[in-house]
Amino acid sequence: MSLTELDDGLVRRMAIGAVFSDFGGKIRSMGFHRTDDLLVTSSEDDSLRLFDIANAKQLKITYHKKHGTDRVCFTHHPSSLICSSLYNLESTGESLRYLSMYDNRILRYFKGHKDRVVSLCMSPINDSFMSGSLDKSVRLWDLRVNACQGILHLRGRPAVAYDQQGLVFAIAMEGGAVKLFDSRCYDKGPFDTFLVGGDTAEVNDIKFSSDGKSMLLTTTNNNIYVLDAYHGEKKCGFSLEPPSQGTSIEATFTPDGKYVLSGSGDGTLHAWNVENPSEQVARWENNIGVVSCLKWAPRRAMFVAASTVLTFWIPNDGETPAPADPPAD
Amino acid sequence: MGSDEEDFVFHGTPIEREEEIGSRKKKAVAGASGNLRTLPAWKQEVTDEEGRRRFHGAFTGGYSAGYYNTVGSKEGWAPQSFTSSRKNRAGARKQSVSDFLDEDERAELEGQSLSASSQFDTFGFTAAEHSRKQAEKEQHERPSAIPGPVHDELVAPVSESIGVKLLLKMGWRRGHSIMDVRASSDARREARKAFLAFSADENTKESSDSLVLENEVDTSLDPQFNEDIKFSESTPVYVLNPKQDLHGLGFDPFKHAPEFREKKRSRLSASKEAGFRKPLSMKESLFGPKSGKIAPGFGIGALEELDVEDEDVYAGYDFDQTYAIEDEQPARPSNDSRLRLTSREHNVLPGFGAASNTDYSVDRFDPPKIPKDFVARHKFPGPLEAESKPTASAPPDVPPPEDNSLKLLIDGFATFVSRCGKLYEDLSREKNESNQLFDFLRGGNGHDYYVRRLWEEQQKRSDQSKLQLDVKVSASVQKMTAETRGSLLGERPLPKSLKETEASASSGGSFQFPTNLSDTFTKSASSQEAADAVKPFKDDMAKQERFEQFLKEKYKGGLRTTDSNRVNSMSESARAQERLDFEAAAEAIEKGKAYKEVRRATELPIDFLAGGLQFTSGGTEQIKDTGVVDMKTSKTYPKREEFQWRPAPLLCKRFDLPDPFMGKPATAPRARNKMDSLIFLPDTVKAASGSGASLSARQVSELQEPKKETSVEEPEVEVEVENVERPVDLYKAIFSDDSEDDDEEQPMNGKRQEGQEKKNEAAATTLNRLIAGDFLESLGKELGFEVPADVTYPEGTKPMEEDNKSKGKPDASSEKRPGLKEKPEEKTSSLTLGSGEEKSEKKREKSPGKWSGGNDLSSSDSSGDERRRRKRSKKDRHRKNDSESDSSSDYHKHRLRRKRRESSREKRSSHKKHTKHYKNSSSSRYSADEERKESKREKRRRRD
Repeated sequence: MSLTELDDGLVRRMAIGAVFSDFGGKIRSMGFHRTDDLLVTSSEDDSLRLFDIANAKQLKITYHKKHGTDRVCFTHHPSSLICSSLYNLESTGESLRYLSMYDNRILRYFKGHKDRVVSLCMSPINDSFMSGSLDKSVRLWDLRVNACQGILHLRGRPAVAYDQQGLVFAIAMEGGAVKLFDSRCYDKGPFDTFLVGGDTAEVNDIKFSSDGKSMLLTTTNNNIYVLDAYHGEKKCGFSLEPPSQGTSIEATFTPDGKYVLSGSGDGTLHAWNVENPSEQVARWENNIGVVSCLKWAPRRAMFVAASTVLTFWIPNDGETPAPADPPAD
Repeated sequence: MGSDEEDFVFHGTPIEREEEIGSRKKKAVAGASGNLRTLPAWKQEVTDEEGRRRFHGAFTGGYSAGYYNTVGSKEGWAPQSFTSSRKNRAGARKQSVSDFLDEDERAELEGQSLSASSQFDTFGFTAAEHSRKQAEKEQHERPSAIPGPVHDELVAPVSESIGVKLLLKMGWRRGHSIMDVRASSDARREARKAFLAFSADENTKESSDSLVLENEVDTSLDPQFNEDIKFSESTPVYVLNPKQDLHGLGFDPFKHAPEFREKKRSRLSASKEAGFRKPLSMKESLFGPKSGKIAPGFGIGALEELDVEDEDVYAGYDFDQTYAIEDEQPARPSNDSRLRLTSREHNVLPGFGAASNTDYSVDRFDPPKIPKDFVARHKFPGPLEAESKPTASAPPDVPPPEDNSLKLLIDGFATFVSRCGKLYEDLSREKNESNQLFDFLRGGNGHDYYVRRLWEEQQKRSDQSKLQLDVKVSASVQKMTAETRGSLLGERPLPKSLKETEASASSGGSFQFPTNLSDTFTKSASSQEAADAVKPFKDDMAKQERFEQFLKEKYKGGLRTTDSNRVNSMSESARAQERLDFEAAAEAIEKGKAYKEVRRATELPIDFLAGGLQFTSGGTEQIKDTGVVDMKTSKTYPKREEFQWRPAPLLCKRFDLPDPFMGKPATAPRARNKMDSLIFLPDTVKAASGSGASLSARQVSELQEPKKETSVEEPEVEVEVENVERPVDLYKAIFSDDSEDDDEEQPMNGKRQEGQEKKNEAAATTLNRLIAGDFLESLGKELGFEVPADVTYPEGTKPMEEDNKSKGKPDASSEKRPGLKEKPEEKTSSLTLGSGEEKSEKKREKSPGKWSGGNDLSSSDSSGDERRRRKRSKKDRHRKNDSESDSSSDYHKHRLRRKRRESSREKRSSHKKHTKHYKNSSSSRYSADEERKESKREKRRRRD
């Protein structure tokens, strides 16, 4: 079955297709491979797990007890990842690791951050990646080089994102400011700066939509903003239930940039149409608790929501649009 | 001895000399071991096993080079390379086509074809195509339960460029030529006439341009008919030049002698013209006037004289009959069928005689009888119907029915019916026989209102169509309105029309009332009522009046002078205060109205609906339309604003273009209502109303020190926002009353308006600090400007924050909360160009506030500059060539800066105190460059 378009009906029909519940703790982060049907998750049991999302299979699990696993994202290679560390950051400074999942080796350490990395993003076009850390700095790296390629010192927690073309990256920082840098000449400073008016909370997460026209900001006080990427105007904003202590919610665009999905503090999932933000497209009770990670697969009509369990959501083609299907796994 | 040898007879093969064989073998071995491979391909020699030189590929290089056409290997395919199975557990390796291809073939196959790389494929043709293919492929490769792939199809950019879309909208259809029909045909007719005149006397010298040839044919046809079909579509080449000969496809007998093609064409056309008159003789055409007797086919040399031998002995014989094989014409083009008919009568086939009477008769059918009342023009039922009886009888003005939804339905229906004709009404009446909602069609509830609405709509439409007739817009070419174009281009419609569709009040667009007009119009009862109903300032009549005036300004568009309605007796601050009050009150009224709207729907005058007009039919309708407009619809009349469009910086990046406005002061505002920003609601989507004192601002490009172009408009006065107001200046005006920085700013902009200063001062006194304190913070944030650290502590204005302000780059410090007091040095962000060395990195970190990657734009402390300068000059000593390339790479920036440096130079001298802060990276950079040059020069001197 081939889809040509996402529409309200399809988004509404999304239902849990597979569940993985053997995680020893909460899932901290996850990332899709840009082109392959792969998903990697990092969880509190210091494991990295690799999933085949097309067939909903767990491919591999590796443990990283020494460094711990926090933020994780794929590089361009389907079996190599970048993962940020949790432990021994002060002593070793090995805050980022370049891992090969194939043979479970650390290919490289990227030393520099003095604190946890809270935002990690790989350039879609080349080997560079960015990390934003709680030590109030954003660092630019190249996979081929150990040393940091660039540092940006900020005040407060940063969030970083490349756009889909890799030409531009955005850094969101405290005070609701979003700065856009040219990734080829980032050293010239931001070429544009937006302020998300009215909300000075720290930005948890920033994402570009695939078409590059919008940005999605998730703030620590549980607001989601969709910004116009060109002018920084707020297209719409959503306020969500605050989750319990210590967790954050995540929002995601669909690949067409038309819908925004988000978890909420009350354990529900919501979907909105960006064009028509006043109406909520869908709302799901997902029964897995507060969703801390939520990402839509870049090339599939599916998304993945995770709390302590991982759920794969796919369109339910059965008659009933009941959202909570019995787990297929 | 020699003779002896001659007598010898050799038997068998002579034994070759030892060393000869040896050397050859050696060569062969060396070649095999790859020594020779290191040579460039054209120097390599191909040898066989014996080491003998082998001649191969005479067409591709003779003796040269390796396994050229053999996939780089002797075997002709790529031998599989050994892979260790230790690390890489070997699956069966599939061989692919590429294993059997030569390098060049592979390059061909893999598509070195020229196409936009997906990265810069802005309009996305290539990308879309590619992604579609890719997706299809993947679909086969990875069957999965999950439907997909979505991504690429979903984000695939529009398949058509905007140009195509526009053309389509303008009436162009695919496969048709893009030509202005009338213009081109006119031109053609002219050309044809001229050509005919020209060719009348010189029949033989027909031009053989294919187009003209076509015209030639065309003239014989009915010109009108011909025009219609001819030019409305783009003719493919094979139609223009049909294949008329017997050569193979693609064979061109004149390939190497194009001049003969002309000859042939002229012959063709000539023959056509005269209706198979006897073709021109070859002699004539080929050699022109020169000879009558030269044998065709045999030329004479340039140096030869024409003499008896060259004379054509077969002069009497018409060579063309035989010669013209090459030009055989099996079929004439179909469009000269008439010519053929006539020609057939004269020219019978050789050996046949024309029969005097035939028993074959063509059955001819009479054309169908055309009814007498037939008009040869299609009649569109809707508009013309309305046109025919436009003002038959105006139904009485009826108030709309109570039910709002019914009213909407009726409105919509009436519009539709007026557009589509009566027929639609009848149809839907039948269809909705049982539907209660459509009772109004059958004379039920709301029928009167419907009739009235229908009449209005028809009226409107007839006016439009009349107008269109006047303009003589041909019916077929649909005129593109600004709206359609706008929607096509994805422009956001003006707020007014947005509102309108929301209320679905009327179908039309909106237009502008000039002030005087709108004043002369009688006010609608409702707006009057609305204004009257809520009188927030009843106690103060003057104030109430001003409030009404304010409302009018707010909700009505149009040009008005700034001073006309200003009450001069008021103080600036009072005015500002009042303005705020008014805004709040207006808002409150607005909300109340929205709530009441439904309730009071019946009270609304019916004319409220007549307000909508089409954009295209603008001016004339104004008179007819009474201009009675409901508050709601008139709420946001668009104002005519003129501003320079500047692309968003991100847009420039995406298109990979240098920002043309980089460094120039922001003129195009991100128009925002000031009040919106003041009364900011975090979670609502703002529909920015176009009016009000739109205090708008835009970031100045980060790289440059902003020219402080300001036009602080007093909040009370409504000015069409042309120049941008920068809140920083507002701050400055408010909080740093010292004239010093005013002076300092002044020289920076040339465009600064006269009287700006006055306004600034006025603004300074305008908002007292207590009012301002509350919202300035949010305002500043909203507009993306640095809020001075001491906003809430106005007494604390120091040069330090001024430093902050005058720094053009709104860096991380801009996000600083105004309440926090910090030294600017600590605030500035610095992105360090890593360059690998952690040490220097650290050093830089110690002195943040500058871009240590060489473009130290944010640097503000001169000590850092100093250090760097020293460092740089040191570097120069090491590699002096670098500086040249360095500076050239910075040329662009440098040049930009130089401009400003000029302007800021005098100022620097006059304001020594501020120089340090003022001279930003540019000047420091400049001085660094200077210094570098200096050191270089010095070095050279020393060396000499």
